[in-house]
Amino acid sequence: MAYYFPVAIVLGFGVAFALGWLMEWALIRHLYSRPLDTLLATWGVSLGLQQCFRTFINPKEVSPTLPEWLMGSWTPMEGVDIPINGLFVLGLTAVVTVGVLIALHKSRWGLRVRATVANRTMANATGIDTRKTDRLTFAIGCGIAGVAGAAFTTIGSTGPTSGQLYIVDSFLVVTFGGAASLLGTVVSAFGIAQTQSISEFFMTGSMAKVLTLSLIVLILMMRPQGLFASKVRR
Amino acid sequence: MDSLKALIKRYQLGSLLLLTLLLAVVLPLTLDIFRLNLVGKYLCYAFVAVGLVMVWGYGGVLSLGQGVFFGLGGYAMAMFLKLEASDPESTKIQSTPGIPDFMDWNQITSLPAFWVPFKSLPLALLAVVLVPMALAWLISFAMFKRRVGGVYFAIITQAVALICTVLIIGQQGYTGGVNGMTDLKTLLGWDTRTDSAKYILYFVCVALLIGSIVLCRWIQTSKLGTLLLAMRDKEDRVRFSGYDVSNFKVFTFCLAAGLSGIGGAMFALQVGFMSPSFVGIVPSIEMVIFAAVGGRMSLVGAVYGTLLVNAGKTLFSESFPDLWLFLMAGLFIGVTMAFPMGLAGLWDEKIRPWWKRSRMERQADAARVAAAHAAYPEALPPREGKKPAADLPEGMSGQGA
Repeated sequence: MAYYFPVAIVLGFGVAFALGWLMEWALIRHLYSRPLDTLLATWGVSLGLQQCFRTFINPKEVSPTLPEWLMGSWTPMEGVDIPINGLFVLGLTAVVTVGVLIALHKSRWGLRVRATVANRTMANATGIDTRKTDRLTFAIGCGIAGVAGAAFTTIGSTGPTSGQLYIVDSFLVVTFGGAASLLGTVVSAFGIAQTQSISEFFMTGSMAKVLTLSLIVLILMMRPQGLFASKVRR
Repeated sequence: MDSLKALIKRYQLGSLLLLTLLLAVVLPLTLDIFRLNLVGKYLCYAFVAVGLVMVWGYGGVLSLGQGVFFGLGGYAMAMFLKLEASDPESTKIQSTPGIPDFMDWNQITSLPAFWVPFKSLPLALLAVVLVPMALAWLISFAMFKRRVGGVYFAIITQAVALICTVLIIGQQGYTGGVNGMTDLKTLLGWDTRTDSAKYILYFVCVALLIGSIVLCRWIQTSKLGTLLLAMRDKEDRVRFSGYDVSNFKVFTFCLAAGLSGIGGAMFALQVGFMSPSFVGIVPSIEMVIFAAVGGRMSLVGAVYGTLLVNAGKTLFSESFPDLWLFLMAGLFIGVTMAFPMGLAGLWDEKIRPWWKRSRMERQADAARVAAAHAAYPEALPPREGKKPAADLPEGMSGQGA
């Protein structure tokens, strides 16, 4: 009974992976030359998924019970209380990030992805099926999002519209860090989250969020390619 | 006569006249006041859709944050109406009479400085148009000068929408918070909740909408419109031809923002409240869908698209609430995959050519018959049902053998 959570995380990855594979095959591969239409089409898919959750699962927001090993907090010293739940999410994120990094640089899939990104035509010419690579990459990305969703159930309540809270933030994290850079994503996610948490000491939560977002937008206005931009000519 | 015809064709006055007839004559005569008020509400969204046609269809810039400008215009009007509804006699029971109720229950004791200009109607009307335009100028100038476009700009507009929503909801004392500004009753003493007021506001809304369509069409038929189209398709070539591309994009973005602001103000007048639920990401993306369904290149189509999608939303949420989001999802996917130019595109690409082709076929048929008649005038049998000529003796039906 206590092991349902890791099983749920693996299942979350699996289901999101499968759905991402299907969506790429059915929808996204027709829209590669039209990124703006991709935004609209994927928004439509998200609306459909929300209604599926409402109709077939439960329209109410629920807060699932944590397993016992995630409850409580760790007290390294007097007065410092770190929730074990937060440590688990931190550890999970680290494992996933390191896993993606290793896969990108050591696995055959990673090789194919890097080749496709660097020069699609030559990658095709050397026999790499770029379409399959695209599909697999998209599905892996969706699977990782599924893992994030499974982890988020420990933090906030879960309902049909829970994913909407993270749309703008995740886009901004990726854009701010530089779209093609994994290190940039890590740095920008850390930076943005820390800015918001620290600002919350000095002002209300909503003003902290406004300040953080405004800072990001301002910095993006001055440096639109993000922090760690790839030095590739486009 | 030819110049008049050319004018009509250039400005697409035929379709505009049809739309005006529909909105100003057919709908008020066929709908009761409740449904007509709903149509008036949809027409406020149509302002945003018309702006999006200019910015997205002609300028090539997708803005997923038009709700911000809609909300800014709406809040400007709502602030004026709220101040009018919070005169000292009706707010006697508050601890500080003369200020809006939400300020009172947030323990604010005097009107904040930025509320004071909204005591006068001319300043409020100016703010309805100028404040959204100022914010649009700020965002777009910084972005377009740095050649940020496409998806990045769309996401920045989403971020701005989120910032505005969080700001409005967080500062409940100054903006009314998540409830928004409610209980907007009178405009300079004229009660806006009576049926006659609703009729008048509806016609004002229709007039303003038709006016903005004419304005946008005038821009489209000018050299600026051609430049916008060129910029949308091949920005670099326009830049190399010597034009400052970013200025034109800033212009269209500010124009769309101003139109959305007017829509928001009419919304506050017609519906009687304004809340941050019209400012966020979700309503902004829905406004894009209105323009996309109607046709992102067609001003009149955008209005039809807005009316259709909103009417569908109302009808479906009344009868089949579960089905509505599936239909919206289908609309989004259909508009991007199957009919990217919307209903107007379907009309232009499928229906009108079919009509023209069938008309040409009928004309060709008639021409063939006439040619045959001309070649063999005596050999044709008389047609069925043709009346005999008056000078023929009876029993004979025609000259032919």
